[in-house]
Amino acid sequence: MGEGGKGMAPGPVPRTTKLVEASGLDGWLRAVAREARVWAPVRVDGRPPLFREFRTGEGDRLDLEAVRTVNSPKGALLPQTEPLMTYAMTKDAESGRPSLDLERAAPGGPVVVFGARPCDAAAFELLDKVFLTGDFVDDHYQARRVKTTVVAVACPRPDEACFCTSFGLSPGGTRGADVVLYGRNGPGVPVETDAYYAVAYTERGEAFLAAPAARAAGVADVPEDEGRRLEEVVSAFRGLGTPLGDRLGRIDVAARLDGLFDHPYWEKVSARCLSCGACTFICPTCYCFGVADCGALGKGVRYRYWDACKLPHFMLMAGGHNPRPAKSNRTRQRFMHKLNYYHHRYGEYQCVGCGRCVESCPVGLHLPLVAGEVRGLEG
Amino acid sequence: MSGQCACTGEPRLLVPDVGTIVDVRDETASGDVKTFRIALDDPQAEWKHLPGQCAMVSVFGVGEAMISITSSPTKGWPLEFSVKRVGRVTGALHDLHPGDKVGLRGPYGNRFPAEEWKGRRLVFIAGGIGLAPVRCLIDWCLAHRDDFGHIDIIYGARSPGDLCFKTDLFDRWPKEKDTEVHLTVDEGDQEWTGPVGFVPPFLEEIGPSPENAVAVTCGPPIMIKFVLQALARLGFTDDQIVTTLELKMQCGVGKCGRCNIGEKYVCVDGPVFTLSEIRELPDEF
Repeated sequence: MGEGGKGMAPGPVPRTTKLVEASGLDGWLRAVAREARVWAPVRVDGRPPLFREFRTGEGDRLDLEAVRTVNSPKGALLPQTEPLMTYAMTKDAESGRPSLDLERAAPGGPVVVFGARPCDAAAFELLDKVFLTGDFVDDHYQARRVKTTVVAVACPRPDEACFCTSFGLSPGGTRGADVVLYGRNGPGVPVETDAYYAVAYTERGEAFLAAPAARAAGVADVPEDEGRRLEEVVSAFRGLGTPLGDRLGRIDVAARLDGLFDHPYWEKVSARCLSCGACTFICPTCYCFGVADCGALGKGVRYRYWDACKLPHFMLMAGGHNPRPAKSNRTRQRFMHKLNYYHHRYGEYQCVGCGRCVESCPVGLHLPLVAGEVRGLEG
Repeated sequence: MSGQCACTGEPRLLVPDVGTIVDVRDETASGDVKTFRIALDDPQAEWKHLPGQCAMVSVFGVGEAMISITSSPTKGWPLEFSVKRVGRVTGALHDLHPGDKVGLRGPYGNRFPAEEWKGRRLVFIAGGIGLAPVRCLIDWCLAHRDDFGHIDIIYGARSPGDLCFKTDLFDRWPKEKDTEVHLTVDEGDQEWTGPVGFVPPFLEEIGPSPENAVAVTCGPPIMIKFVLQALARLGFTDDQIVTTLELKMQCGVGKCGRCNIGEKYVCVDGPVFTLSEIRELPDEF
């Protein structure tokens, strides 16, 4: 990784920069939603915000204030359940010969992920490595990915659970984003910002800012005398620290974990795990899935659905053998996967420091805790 | 991004082709192992596999399971899959008949690197249904018989009725040039006059020489464990021992995370590994 943060090289070169009033965002989103499915952080009835499809007719309110949504936006690229095909078996009335009609699920239309935090945008690139590289390209994923525009919003106030900087990311980072919105007042300001600089870093982002929906919503050129302010704001977001990340420093434990597979630590740290799997479902980078048929009377749908290595049945085989029968086996698998196996396979860590596991694990068994503790283990 | 773009048409990676069961053969006296010959309804969709590769077999409405391809690539289509009834999908498959529809997608996984073994002696050691993936390799090697030295096929099952591929074991393979078939059963019956005993001590008794040899083994985990010890005592090094692994799989293409062991995925990096490669992996089978 490494793309910003303290003392690091500046990010990629902007292709276009526009200015949009904060009050214009909602209208922009509604205009975009007429041509694409829009995913955004939404708040309904004052409940904690969710990242999900923005339903324009149902009282959804865009929420760019919350540091993080309860869930991550990964469902936009990897739906929690996704039909792969439908099947229907029939029997010829005369010959009695069975036949089978199989219909592959059609790829959906364009998607705009609007208002993702830079950590969540970066997570998309970690999913890309799994689904778009290797011997097989996952064309179900790819069909959505190539039609997805990611509009990130820089974090003005990272909270106590944030540690993206531990992985070389930053609250003003651009990784995985086509456009980044930077609050015009800069980071750390306790009141809502009045306007955003919208900076496009990709061709797709440039087209998004030039589209009729953007113009109609008042997305405009940056006044000429604001050039210096723009640079200062962007650089302030990029250089911003994160409370937990600052304490932890850079997490680089892959080599350390090489020799720790058989360490008693896993038994100790996993004792309190409830095997609920919450950490995997809210994680923006966890991608394990299952495939299942659902139907009756010879007709049905084959789905792919999120599954989790933390759940006891995950590797259970016909005949009853389970290679990871204990919580300690499964806890080790999850953290080894993120901090060691993925690193060996793809050359970086499978975590973006979003802080959701810190916030959501009911027993406080989260990644920064483990990453910090394994540094000090003997053996 | 890499690979070809799927921007047009419906995605197909996880969607099988439709096939028809053309023949079902009971392998064992109890009927718990059956061999299914499966043809694809669209011959244009037929693919070529390599010895050791697997395919995802679908029973529509029940699900998919990764099954090794039992027939040698040299025999072409229809492909054969020998399946033991153990769980939901294999149970449902066993209830199907010739003419019934199934799904197939593949071929998946690496292969036995048999072309690297030219000029060497081959020792195949299998137990029970573990002969299914090895049979594909044996037939491939026999189709290229002059490329290899002496061949020993050492196979055991619980009882004479549990021996799979009886035509191969008793009629076809023993007639091949410089090929010996050694059979044992855990427990004999009134008609059985052959050796009785477990595969590992039987292997040591036969005592194939490790010199210029490769040993390929597949069977129940407990058998493999003691076969590896027996091979070590016979002087086989870890590089001379090859096995094929099985783990729970859902996608077969290195994405779903199910068969992940260390940095490897059994479905794409395996299922065939040398013992040296297995020793590099965490002990999590």
